[in-house]
Formats: sequence, structure tokens, C-alpha cells
Amino acid sequence: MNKLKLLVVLGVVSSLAACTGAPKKGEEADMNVEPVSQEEVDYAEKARLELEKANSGEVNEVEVLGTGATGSDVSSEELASQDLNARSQEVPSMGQTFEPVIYFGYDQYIVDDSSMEIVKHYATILVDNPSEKIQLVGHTDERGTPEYNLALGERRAKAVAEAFMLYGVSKDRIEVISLGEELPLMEEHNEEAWAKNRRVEIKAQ
Amino acid sequence: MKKIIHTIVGFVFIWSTSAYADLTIQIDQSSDNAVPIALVPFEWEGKQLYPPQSMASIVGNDLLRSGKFKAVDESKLPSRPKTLDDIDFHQWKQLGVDNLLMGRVVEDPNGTYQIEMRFIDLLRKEQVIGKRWTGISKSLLRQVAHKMSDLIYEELTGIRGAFNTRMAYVTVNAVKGKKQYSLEVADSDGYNSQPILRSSLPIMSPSWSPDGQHLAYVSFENGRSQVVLQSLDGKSRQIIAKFKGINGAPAWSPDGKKLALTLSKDGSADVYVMDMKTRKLRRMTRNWAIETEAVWAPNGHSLFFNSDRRGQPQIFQVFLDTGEMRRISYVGRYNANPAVSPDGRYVAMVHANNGFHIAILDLYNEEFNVLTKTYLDESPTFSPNGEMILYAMNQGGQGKLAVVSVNSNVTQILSVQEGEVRSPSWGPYLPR
Repeated sequence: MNKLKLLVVLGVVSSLAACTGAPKKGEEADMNVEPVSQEEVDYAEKARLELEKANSGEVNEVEVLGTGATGSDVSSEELASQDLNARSQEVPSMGQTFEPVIYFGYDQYIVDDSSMEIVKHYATILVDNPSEKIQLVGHTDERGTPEYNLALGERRAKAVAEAFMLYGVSKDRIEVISLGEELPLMEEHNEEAWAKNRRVEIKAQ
Repeated sequence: MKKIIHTIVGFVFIWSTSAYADLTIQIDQSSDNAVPIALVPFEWEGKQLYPPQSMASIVGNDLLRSGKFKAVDESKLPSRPKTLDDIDFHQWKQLGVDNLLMGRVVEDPNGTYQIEMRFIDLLRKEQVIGKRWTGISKSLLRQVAHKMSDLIYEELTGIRGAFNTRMAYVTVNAVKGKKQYSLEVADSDGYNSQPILRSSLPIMSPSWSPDGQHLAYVSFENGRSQVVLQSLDGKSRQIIAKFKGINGAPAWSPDGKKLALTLSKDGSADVYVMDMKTRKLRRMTRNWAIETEAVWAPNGHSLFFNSDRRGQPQIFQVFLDTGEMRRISYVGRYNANPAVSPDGRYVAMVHANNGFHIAILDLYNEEFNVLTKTYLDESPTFSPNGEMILYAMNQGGQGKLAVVSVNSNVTQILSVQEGEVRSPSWGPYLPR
């Protein structure tokens, strides 16, 4: 359990660092590694902050504009193939950030292995912050009919909800919402935009 | 292929204050089989130099949009008769024109208008329609012109015209970087648009009550989908479905007593029928799959809907009395969003094959035809006479509406000047 928390602490720090452009990761890690009780409180607060930050419009905007451009977006598939211990080492050193969004293939609602990593990251925060609740907001791309897509968006959000439940988050802490194709992240009509629009957003309630 | 563009600017003298969401019509005329009709500009008696509306032009545009008729170019009219006696029948025979519309608009001292129309069969040399409207306010002049179009269309085809009808649609505009959604109701030619709801969150799927007095639609105003019932005058408005999960795809029954809708409160998206009086729900489908987009057969005995129970969306039919189901669409891997023609014979649908297009299935002989070749076509809706299908599409990255005539290749494109337009729904006949 301690190891898992450490992972989250480090994950949080690197996320925050990435958001705010704070000092180098090494320094941050030094500050936080000591598992004192006071730190526990800070950690919970930071985890909460991370969830909030992940949901502020500001961060979302950064996500849209910064599409796949940062070197820190190290292939999450690579991580998925490694075991937990390996990951807990890897995550901080690579400055891995978890965008609170799960993407899907065309007409698909399968949460793939790399997306499970994201779910696990936020599920861990939720497990450690029992008062927090989340909304899972499902979206589709513009292709296909609007009402079918409304249902497909829900199907995706429900698939992500199932994944959260696998990691110990109870059903009553998850609200599933679908916006279908109505609120695309990218307005363009091409494959790249469609791929970004097929998503479930993880939001604090 | 001849392209005729009618812009709002073309009718600059009727530019109204509510032109904001009016639709501009562009007719892509590919049929040369259109029958010519002589539309003589109406005689005008009034204080101004010109009448407030050019009745003959409105009628001409209506008839052109049908794909079956075209107006004789005004400059090629050999004469401008005012009465039957004025007509030199030989002159018109040489022009190859069999029908002629003439009439007059008179401004009365009280500011209202009198309109007379005479529709002449030049072969039989007689008046086949003669009508007068009195006490017409300026704002109703276009409606009178559409009524004329309806009468002429019925006289020439035997089919009731659907020009004097309305449509509902949703416009999306960016106002200071924020999206604004508006549910609009406009005449069938895109004029006289009036917003009935504005929201910063999406609106979709308007459905007309059979009496044309109400719309049911989906609004995300509370952050999630809810089905709302609203009178056109805006005086009554209720959220009638806000269950857990999705609330969508409202469709009024032909008798106006029930509403089909999609709910996921019991699991996956399923089709339900709500009794409008008691608000009681009856679940029509029970399946892990997505079942949605239900529409009524005109006799009210069955629903057509979209189900992906076979892995991909296909059209199914369910009968209300027995609960019996059958699959309707077999051509291609993706068929969704059915619309039933008013006579119950045809089912239009969104068909994906090399893009999304509107296809039509003849239930009598199972003939299946793809009608459209525009981009990202969706949301088909029949005109009340079944002659045309209005749908949403995308052109140049902008959401637009288009109308395709079922029996010819004429497509007209309707667009807003700024922003996007989508989710069309063609309203019922208005009283004659």
C-alpha cells in the first residue's frame, strides 16, 4: 500500500510540475519522498488539487493545443507492459502526466491497456480520497447519427465506470453522462480531430 | 448542371429584423425535365413603389425547389396579362408554356393587403384556380404566396403541396468564443425564422406534435440530456424526461397522444413509449444493445428504430400490440436514424457506405436507393406530402441543411449566414 501511495505522490508532483512549469523533478521528489504523517495530509490535498486542476478549463485547453507535442508523452503502452514495481520507478523519472481523458477507436467502447493505466491513476486517488466523486463524460466524433452517438457516448462512459469499479471505486461515486457528438474538442472534420473527440473525460463532481 | 443561387440579399426589400437565423437557399438544379410555368409579376396598388413581397418570385422559388417546375425567365415573358381576356393564347403556345399565374396585391387604407391569384390552363384556355385573400397583414404575405404554391402544385400534380409548412432546426454560433445554440422555427423556404430556445449548451432532435403547436426536443441545459416539451408560443414548457442516463430521441405519435423516446434508466439505451396524459412509460425494447431513434409508422401501430444488436446499427420495426420485431434494413453494414414517409411506404435512413448518405427503402418491393451525395448526411425528415426529404449535412466544414426531392435529383442547400445549422425536422401541414 505504501508503495502505491508513493507512486501517486510522485505522479501528482510530476503532474503539477508539468502544469505549472515548476522546478526540476529531482528537487520536487526530494521534498516529498519522506512519508511523515504531515505529508500524508499534504498528499491528500495535492491529490484533490490534481483532480481539480485536471478539470479546470485551463488545463483542458492546454490539452487541446498541446496535442501529442510534448516529449513527456512517453508511450503509455510501454508502461502497460511492465509490472507495477517497474512502473513505480518509471513514472516519476519520465515525468508521466495523466491527462484525465480516455480515448477510443472508431465506433469502439473498449478501454485499452494504456487507458487502464489512466483509470488506475485516478482510481487510486479516489480510493485514497473517499469523499471525492467523479463524473465520466462520454463523447463521440461527429460521424454517425446524433442520437445513436448519444447512446454510444454513454456506452463509453459506462465502460470507463466499469474500469473504475475494477480498481475499487464504488458505483455510487461515479456519475455517467453522455454528450454524444455535441461537444467536440476539435472542430475540424478529419481523422485527427475525430480521434481526439472520441473520448471520456474524467471530471471531479 | 446549372447552379442558381438565391441569396437573402436578392430580396433586399424584405430584409427583416429577424433575418439573423434565416436560411439562404442554394438550388443545385440537375434536372432539365422541370415543366415551365409563366409567373407574371403581380399587379400592385399601394403607396410604395413596390409591393412588400414579390408574390410571383416566392411562388417561383417554391415550385423550383420541388424539382418538377421552373418559372419562365421574367425577361422572356411575351406579355403581362391582368385578366383572362388579356391573354393571347397563341403567343404562349409558341413559348411551350401550358400554365400561367397572374394576380394582384392591393394595399387597403387600414394597412392590410388584398391578394388575388388566377391560375390559367393555357391549353384549356380557362382559369383553374381563382382565389382572393383579404385583411392580410404584411407579415403574412409570404404565407399567402406559399398557399398559392400549394394550390398550384396540387392542381398540376394531384399531390397536396407542402410549401406552406414550417421546419424546426438548431443553429450553432460562436458568440465571443462561446457557443450559442438556438432552436429555430422557420417557413419551409427558410424565411421568417424565429428562435424558440437559446442555450449555451446543446439542443437536438426536435419533433413536431401532429397539430404543429408543440415541439419535443432534447436539451442539455442542465448538463445532461433531457427531453423537453414546449409550445411554439413559448407559453408552456416542461421537462418530461430527466431519468438517470440518457433521455433522447423524442417522436410524437401520429395521434399526438404518445411520445416515443430513448431512455437508458434501466440499463442500455432502449425505446420507450410515454402516454402524454398519464406520463406512464411502456418499454418497447429490452436488449443490451443500443436501441434508439424510434419513429412512428403513420398508422401508429408500429415503430421503426435503430438497433445495434447485430453489432452495427440497423433498422428494426416493433409492433405495439404484439411486441413482435423484425429487421427492416439489410443493405450495407450501417443503417440508422429512420424516417417514415407519410404514406408509410418508404423508410429513409442514414446509410454508411463510403461516407454517410440518405438512402430510401421501398417497403413494398424492398428496393433500396441512395438519394444523396453530400458529406456527413444525417437526420432525414420527410415533407408532410412525402415528396421531399430535409436532412443535415456538412459542406466546407460548415453544418448545413439540404432538401432532396424523392423523385428527382434536385438538391437544395440551406445554410445560415454564420455558424452551423442541424437537427432539422419538417413540421406538419398547416390548416389550409
